[in-house]
Amino acid sequence: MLTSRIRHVVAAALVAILVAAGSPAGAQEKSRMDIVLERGKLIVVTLTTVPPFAFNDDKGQLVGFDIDIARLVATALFKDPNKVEFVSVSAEGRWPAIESGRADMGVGGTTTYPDRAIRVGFTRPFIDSGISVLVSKKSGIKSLKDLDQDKYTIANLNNPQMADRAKRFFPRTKILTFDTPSAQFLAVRSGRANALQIDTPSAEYWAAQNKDEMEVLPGLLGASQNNGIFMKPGDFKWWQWLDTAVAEMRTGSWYPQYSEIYHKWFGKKPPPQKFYLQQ
Amino acid sequence: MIAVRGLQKSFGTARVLRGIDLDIADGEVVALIGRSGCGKTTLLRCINFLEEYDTGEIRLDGEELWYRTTPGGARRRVSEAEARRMRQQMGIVFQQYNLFPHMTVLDNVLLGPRFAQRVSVAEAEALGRRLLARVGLEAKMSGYPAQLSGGQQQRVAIARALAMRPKVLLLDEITSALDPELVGEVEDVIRSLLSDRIMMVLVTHALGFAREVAHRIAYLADGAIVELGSPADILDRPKDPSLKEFLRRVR
Amino acid sequence: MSFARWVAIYGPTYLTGLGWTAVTAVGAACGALIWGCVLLLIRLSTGRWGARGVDAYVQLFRNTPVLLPIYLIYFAFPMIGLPWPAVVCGGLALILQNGAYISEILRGSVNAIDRVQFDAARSIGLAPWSTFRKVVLPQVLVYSIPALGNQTVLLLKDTSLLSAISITELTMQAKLLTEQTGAAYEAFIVVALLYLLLVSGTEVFFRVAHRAVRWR
Repeated sequence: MLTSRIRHVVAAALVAILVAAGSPAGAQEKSRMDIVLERGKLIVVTLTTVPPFAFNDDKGQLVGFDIDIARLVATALFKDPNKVEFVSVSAEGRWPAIESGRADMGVGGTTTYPDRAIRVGFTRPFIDSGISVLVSKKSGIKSLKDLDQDKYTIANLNNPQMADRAKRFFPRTKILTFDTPSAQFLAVRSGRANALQIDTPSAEYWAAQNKDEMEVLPGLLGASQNNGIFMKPGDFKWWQWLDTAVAEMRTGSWYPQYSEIYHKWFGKKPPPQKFYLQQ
Repeated sequence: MIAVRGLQKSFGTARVLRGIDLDIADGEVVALIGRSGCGKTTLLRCINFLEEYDTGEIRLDGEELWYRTTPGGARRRVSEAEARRMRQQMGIVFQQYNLFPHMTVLDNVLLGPRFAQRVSVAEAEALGRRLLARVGLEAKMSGYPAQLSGGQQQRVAIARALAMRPKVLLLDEITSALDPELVGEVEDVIRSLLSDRIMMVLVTHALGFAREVAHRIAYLADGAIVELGSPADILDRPKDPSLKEFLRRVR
Repeated sequence: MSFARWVAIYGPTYLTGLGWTAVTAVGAACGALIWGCVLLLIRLSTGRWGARGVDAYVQLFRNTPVLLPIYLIYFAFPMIGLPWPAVVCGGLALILQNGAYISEILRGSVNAIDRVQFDAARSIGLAPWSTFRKVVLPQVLVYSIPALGNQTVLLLKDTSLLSAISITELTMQAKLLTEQTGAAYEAFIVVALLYLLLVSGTEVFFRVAHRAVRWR
């Protein structure tokens, strides 16, 4: 009896604290930019479940394209790719990590999306990718059109873009929704689902790892989606610097370093620095 | 009738029964008396096989109970089902009543007939009501044991034992745990059973009650029947020195 | 966006999640209770080897996180030709683990039964099965009500793990909304309050049940 009463009080207090923490920061707050420079180290929240963007390799090391991008940001700040500390969380832990100030910024296969941008700040995209469909070879599915039958099941991630796309491209296909890409992948592998949708680089990575069992269907699902660096919204100085850094990577002075990372993870050159420059 | 022959039992190295011979005729009431630890309760529990015994035999109306001797001479326990059937011919009432606390008074009485003897619900209920009326507790039928006094609980326990329509009733110090003012009501119930001419074996410390209801009294010491006779012989004209000593102490 | 406004917009979305959480929790709790009773019966009736088997089973499930059987049954069973639905797989995993705990709770309560009752049961010629059903089990269940209440609360919270196998219960619902809106605090505060409600309800249920027992 007593314990349950205490719990109600604690719960109420917790709600109050969290609501307060979730409310927008005061305008006079110090910029993250200055905090990071003073600290001499960048703190980055990331996932570990989205190869090849951010995942643990065979040795348990956190690696990936997004991880190298974060190191490039650290290099731009401190001339040292190792002046960065990674905080690994689950997908839904990304937002509180930056909202609470636990991390300065975040990466990890994170797609920009209008609903999200109300609560989260994004830089311009540092990579854009299509969404591909990975199928098990056993399924006999040869095209995106084949998949749209009620005898097939597709594994989604629990984000709204996945649900939107499934509804648009495969209205008849049954849907399973998972909270990690690895569970999505296991679903296809175990036969729970016949196909999954995921960023093209991830799909290609998995297909390469499982040549006998899986393949990527030709064609993409709709328009490409953008992955950006995300941060707490409202801190103009910090956002401006990060956005500039990304712009420099994709189109400016840091393009060579960016290209090197891109080639390392995707085995090809990135899109041209400027549309008018021939590669 | 019950015939006990050469009954022996040890707990480890302690010999608690050293060759008991005892006959109980139909309608006879036999009281077992003796110091605590003399083996009288163990004897009672051996008769309905709550305790196993080492050697000897027990017969009820000529049928050998609990053990069978194979043609090869090996002694084997009867099957569990067989033992259950045999046990249903005997009722036992314990010192601590041992009622089932989660069942109503009526359900306590019905349990045996319903689930051991597979009597129909209607028949079992009629029997239960009759027996509870007989022990004066019809009004408490739907109450729970915890709501009853010790004397009332013991009366329910007697009704429960009678519900099996036993040939013999074994009573194990049934008034020892009761407050003195509650002893009378339980003894009254036993008195009322005398007219049924049901066999009874009662282990007791209440010598006055034993004299009143028992046809014979057996005095046990160190696991053996030392003296057996009419109440007057045992209580008024004891021969054995240890019995004399026992009676002097009890009085 | 204020908290109240967020709840007004997205609150109704939680109803499905609430339904799945309630259905899986109630289903698994009933299943686990039955399985726990069966394990207890095996332990009490099959002698030394039966008891050892149950011990090994209990140890196995006590020392593994419940996510393991959930994943194993959901992802491995289709490979051996048993593609049961997610709810069945998740429910089964919860039943297998909680049944192990419940059998231990019940076993503890058997010791609370006065030994002399077994003498009484034997003396009226009751068979072991009838003794278990009419004498042991009713008392054991009643003595166990408070501990069973605690276990049910744990089970209720463990249903959140079913989000890993595509069941849209409360936690999955919160994850979906977080992914959609980025409003992790709001999404999870609502879920926390809903769990608190369910847990309090469960506790009240068991307390009332405990009080309703007349014979104690």
